[in-house]
Amino acid sequence: MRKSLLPLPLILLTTLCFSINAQVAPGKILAQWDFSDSAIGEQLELRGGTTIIDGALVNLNDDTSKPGGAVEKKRDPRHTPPDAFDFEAVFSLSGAFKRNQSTPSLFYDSKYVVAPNQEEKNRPYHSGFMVGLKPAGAATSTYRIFAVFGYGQNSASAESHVIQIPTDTEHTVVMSFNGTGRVSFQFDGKAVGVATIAPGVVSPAQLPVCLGDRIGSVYQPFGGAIRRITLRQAEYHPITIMLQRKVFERGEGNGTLLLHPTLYNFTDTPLENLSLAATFAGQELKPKTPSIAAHGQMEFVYPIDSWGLEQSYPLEMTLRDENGEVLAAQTFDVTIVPAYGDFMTVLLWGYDPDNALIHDIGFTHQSCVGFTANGPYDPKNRPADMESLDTLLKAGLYGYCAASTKYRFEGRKRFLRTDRQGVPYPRLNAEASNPALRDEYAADVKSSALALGDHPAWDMALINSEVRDGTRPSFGGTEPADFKQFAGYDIPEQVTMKYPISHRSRPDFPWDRIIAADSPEQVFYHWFWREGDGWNTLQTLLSDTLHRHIHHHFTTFFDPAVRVPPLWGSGGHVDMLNQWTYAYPDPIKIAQATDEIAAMAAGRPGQKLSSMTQVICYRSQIAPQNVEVANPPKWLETEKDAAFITIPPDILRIAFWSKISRRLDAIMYHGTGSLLGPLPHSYRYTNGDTKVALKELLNGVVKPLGPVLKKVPEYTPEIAILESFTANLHSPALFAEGWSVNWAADLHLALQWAALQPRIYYEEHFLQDKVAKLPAVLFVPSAEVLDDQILAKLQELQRKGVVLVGDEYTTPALMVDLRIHSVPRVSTDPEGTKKALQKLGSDIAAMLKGIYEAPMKTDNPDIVLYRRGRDGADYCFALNDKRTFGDYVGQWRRLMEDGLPNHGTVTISHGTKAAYDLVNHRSVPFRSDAASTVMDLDFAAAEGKIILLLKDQSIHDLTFACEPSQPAKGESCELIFQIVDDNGKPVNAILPLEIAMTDANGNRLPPSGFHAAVDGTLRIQDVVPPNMAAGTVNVHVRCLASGLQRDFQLTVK
Amino acid sequence: MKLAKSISSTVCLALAAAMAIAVASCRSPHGNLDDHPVRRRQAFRAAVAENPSLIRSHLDDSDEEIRRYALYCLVKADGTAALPQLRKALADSDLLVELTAVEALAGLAPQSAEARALLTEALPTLRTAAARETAVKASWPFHRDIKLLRNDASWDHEVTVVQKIDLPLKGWRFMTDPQQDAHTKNVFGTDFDDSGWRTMDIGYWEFQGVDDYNGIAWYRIRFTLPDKIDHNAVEIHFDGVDESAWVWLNGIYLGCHDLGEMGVDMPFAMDGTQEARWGGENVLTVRILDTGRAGGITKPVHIEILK
Repeated sequence: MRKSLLPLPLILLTTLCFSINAQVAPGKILAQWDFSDSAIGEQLELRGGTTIIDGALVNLNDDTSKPGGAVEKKRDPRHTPPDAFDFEAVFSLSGAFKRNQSTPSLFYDSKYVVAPNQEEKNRPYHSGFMVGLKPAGAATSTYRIFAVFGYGQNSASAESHVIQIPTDTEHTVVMSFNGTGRVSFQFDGKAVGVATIAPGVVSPAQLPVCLGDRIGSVYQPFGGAIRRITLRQAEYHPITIMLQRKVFERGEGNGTLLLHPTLYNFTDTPLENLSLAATFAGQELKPKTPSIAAHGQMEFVYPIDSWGLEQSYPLEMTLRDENGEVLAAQTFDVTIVPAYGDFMTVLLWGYDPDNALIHDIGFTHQSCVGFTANGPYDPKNRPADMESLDTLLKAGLYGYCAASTKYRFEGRKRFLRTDRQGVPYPRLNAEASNPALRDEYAADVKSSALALGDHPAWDMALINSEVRDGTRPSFGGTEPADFKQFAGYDIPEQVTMKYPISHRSRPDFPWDRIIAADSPEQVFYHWFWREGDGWNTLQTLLSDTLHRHIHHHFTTFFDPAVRVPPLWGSGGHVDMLNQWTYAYPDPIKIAQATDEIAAMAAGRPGQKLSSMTQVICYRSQIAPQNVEVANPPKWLETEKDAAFITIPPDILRIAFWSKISRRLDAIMYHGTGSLLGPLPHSYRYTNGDTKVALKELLNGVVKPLGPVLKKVPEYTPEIAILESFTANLHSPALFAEGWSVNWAADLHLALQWAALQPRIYYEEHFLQDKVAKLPAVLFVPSAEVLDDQILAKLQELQRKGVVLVGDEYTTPALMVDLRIHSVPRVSTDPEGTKKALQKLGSDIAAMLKGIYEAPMKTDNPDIVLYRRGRDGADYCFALNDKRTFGDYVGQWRRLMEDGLPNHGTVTISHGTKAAYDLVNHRSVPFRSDAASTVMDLDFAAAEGKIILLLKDQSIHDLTFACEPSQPAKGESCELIFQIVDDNGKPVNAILPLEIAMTDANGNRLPPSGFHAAVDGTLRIQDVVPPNMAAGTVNVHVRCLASGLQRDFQLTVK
Repeated sequence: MKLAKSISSTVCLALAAAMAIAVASCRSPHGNLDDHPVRRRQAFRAAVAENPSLIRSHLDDSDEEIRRYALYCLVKADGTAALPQLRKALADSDLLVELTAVEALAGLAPQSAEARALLTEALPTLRTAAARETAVKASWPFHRDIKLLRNDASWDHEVTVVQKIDLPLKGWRFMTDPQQDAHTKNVFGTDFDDSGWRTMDIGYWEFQGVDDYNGIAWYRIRFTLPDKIDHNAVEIHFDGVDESAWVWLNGIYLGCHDLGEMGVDMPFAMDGTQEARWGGENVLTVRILDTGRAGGITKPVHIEILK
């Protein structure tokens, strides 16, 4: 690489130095602008601050309001390549250039408008092309190469992976456009991305070429020096075959996958009497005899058996004319990947282009294509989007796409929530109750479902995020009339905000803080949060729309679903509710957030649950910038200005164990930059050990045990915390809208540290009698304000024997059975706060003595216990929360981030016959009598354990059978695996199994992988792959509870 | 719940004795499990459910939860007639009983001068921030409606800002007021000596060395207005506080912005037309209440001269 091209004395010459070559042989130069002779030439003129310095075109202007660059004096039609071409730029970026994050640096522009809107459709903006560098991430050195092409009636764009471009050294970028839907990028000779776009050639530019800037406003000055730009003719195949989808799930389409190759004729001549021959995995497919019009296309369908082995297969296609001359020949790799299995979803809430890395860490999902931000799905994106989904699926991943009503409608005034004067609120929020908005967005969502919904890689949809945070009563649309219809009267006059004014600021509020459940204000806020602001209804509509048009496995979700007062219905009927929070200063607060989401979902039985941990930490909260510390950490040397840093690895570990102790369908992580690095990002990558920790947990725990963890049920809580809607509504300062940073959340921690296993209930649990068994003890923290209905219900619970525990906030109208006092959290003393909360937990346990005994206890409050299970099988989750201040952020004394080894004795109140460590797949020593079991446990730092206690059975053997016993290739069969006790009876528990099956040629066979044997039995219905080797199949089975392994053989005919 | 006031005191005493026996009978000879507060309170509730008139006799119960509930029921039934019991409860050993008495008095204060007087009298001796906050609010001596020129429906002229004066972002004087009694000490006066207060910038006080403080705090700033210009109003604009604010200009109370948590970061303004001192030094005093998490004058403050 050459050294800097900048800055050097300005030399401006006016000698022609570009050449044009109209030859079309591949590799021939079509046009070249070479400034190495420090000449500009007669064909170009310099604009604004652009000049020639040291043999390179330099745009000294960084102001996007002023024109720059070198512009053709007269538009030259030869500068639009006729079909396929390579674009090459030799350049350097200037370290002194003031980069704007949202402004690209353009090499070349003859297009002007990237994505012309409807109003511009008749303007000449679907012509010519542009190539440039688009800033990627917060760092000044990361970019994507991008290109946009005008096809006459529409446009298409493509971009490379993120690349790092050191400044002040010379580099080369090549963009290759093949004219039939493929764009590839190179940086300094290295491939940096291939994109599939709509097929077509560039329509002749209607505007002159501009080098080093955008042709018109807003300008996009190139941030450095361009030495040379060259356009070369590339190989063009105007008759071509394309296959949009190449990756399929095994068994897809009920055993028949459909290949849809498309034949394109980009010539001016119709093609008739063609013959198309095709083979799939060497097997001939039915020949076709197509005829295609000039500039026409024709799609074919080849049905293929989808029960084949999980591998790639060649699809070879040859198109001949009537004389037998080959017009096009194409080979595609078609891949069958494993069928959608029984796994726990691990979703990266974000995106990283390195699918292999994401999969390797243990994620199952990351962001994918799907919805369009600004309107209905544009079909021209389908080829690229299908390829993107193929890539994801082939990498062993699935995708989720986010639908955002916020971005779609908040730029349009008529869809905004407004105050009583009709003025949009300063914090914009879409009026989700608006019927026109609903119809329009449902149509958008439907268009995406119709376009991409047949690809199984698109597996999830996040339907809106953080939309309730900004909601407020809206008086512009239908909500006043809706409420009047609902209640029979108008929205009460005092209503202006999403919560009423705090009772503490209302002199007229009843002094005992008991209000009537049927008071107009109370009725309004119930209505508003349940349905009135329209969000829950819209969520339902969008979710239902997607399910109506997507017929494979597909999950819709909403988050953060408890960023609302505690009232059932948040998220509407989406399939899954997700909640995120931050795992500091006490990582076991993730369990509290998880319990909140479970409480919310209880209003809709069957709704799935997900818990997300933020990988980012607010620097201001754990390592404040304005506080100097002795022995500052290493990361501070390079990330002094960081606002967000990486979560410490042990905090992530403990938070992980905390949340998976609860029954969940999915776990999620957000903060790609802080997790993955090393590309700079606003979420700074300050701790590489966190990624290692996550990989270890996901691969060591979630992958093998996920199917079991999803299924092990919760016990009905004996200790519960009531989150009152009314109290929350009128005393929002005491509550936290899902942020888990209030006294009620801290009480949950105290109870966890005391092994009291708290869970959370909402008012509706009791008002609607939805609790299977009343809790023994119900905590009612911060119950300052209650309505008369829930007050009466709480008093009824007391009469039924439920012990109510209140605090200093409890309304005097409720005489609680026990009173505790809140513990103030001291942010500068997390150690002291933890000790105070642990003492509170221990005091509570002592207060309850004689009233309630926890079924599982420990002598060490830093060992946090949780128990799930069912008859005869207890799953004991134990995590080590012993921590101290470390040298990553501990210097600030805001977070004890380093785990410490620990030891404790755990006692369970029943006898046990066998105990197994599910993580390490081995027996656990214990002492037991008829009434209790005792285990002495050692823990590594931040370690978690899952110990299965079987009351009456032990694991003795594994069995395997197949029905029929000797299946034939292609035949349906049932595989039966059992884990049995010493009497040969299946063990009455949900047990993890690992299965590895191979055919006689050593090919991996489905259903190899991790499974859950429910009631000790796993039954798998499958079809024997028709292309496997007949003969002996080796079946290796391992019980991941006991570690017991057995080998079996099966004969396939 | 209503007390059966018609029941004669004799009957009351008899029932109270019966209740005491009922509660006592729950106790074991060793005073352990059956003496558990949960059992005792369950027994109390069962007894008063049978006979509500028993409640009055438990105002002096040794169990603070029972005393508190008895006090609550008494006030609900008797209203201002319960003032003697409330006065007594203000000195209860249990802080929550004290708080309940204060809350009850605050509830009675609008109708009862005696209740207001009792609150004012009790304020210096109240032992919790919650009790003090309730008492201060109920006996708050400053009242003024906020009238802004822009909102004056009778003002049939266009309102224009002729001058905007930004108050400093740095250098405010600051003092916490955990006892919540500084308003009785003239801290808003122009001649008040605030040199002993620490300095504070606009922003959360939690990020400026006042960690984890919830409650009342005071800010003072001195600024100079230019020589008088033609105007119709002078307004002080706050872009946001966390969470409630009471404002004085040159010792005169201008009004409050007190919506609780919902008022956080909500812009508001006060009229100071009569109080502004042209061509001289002015003193702006702001009392902030923060009930949870971070607090303070969190966003800039400016003066608008309106014509």
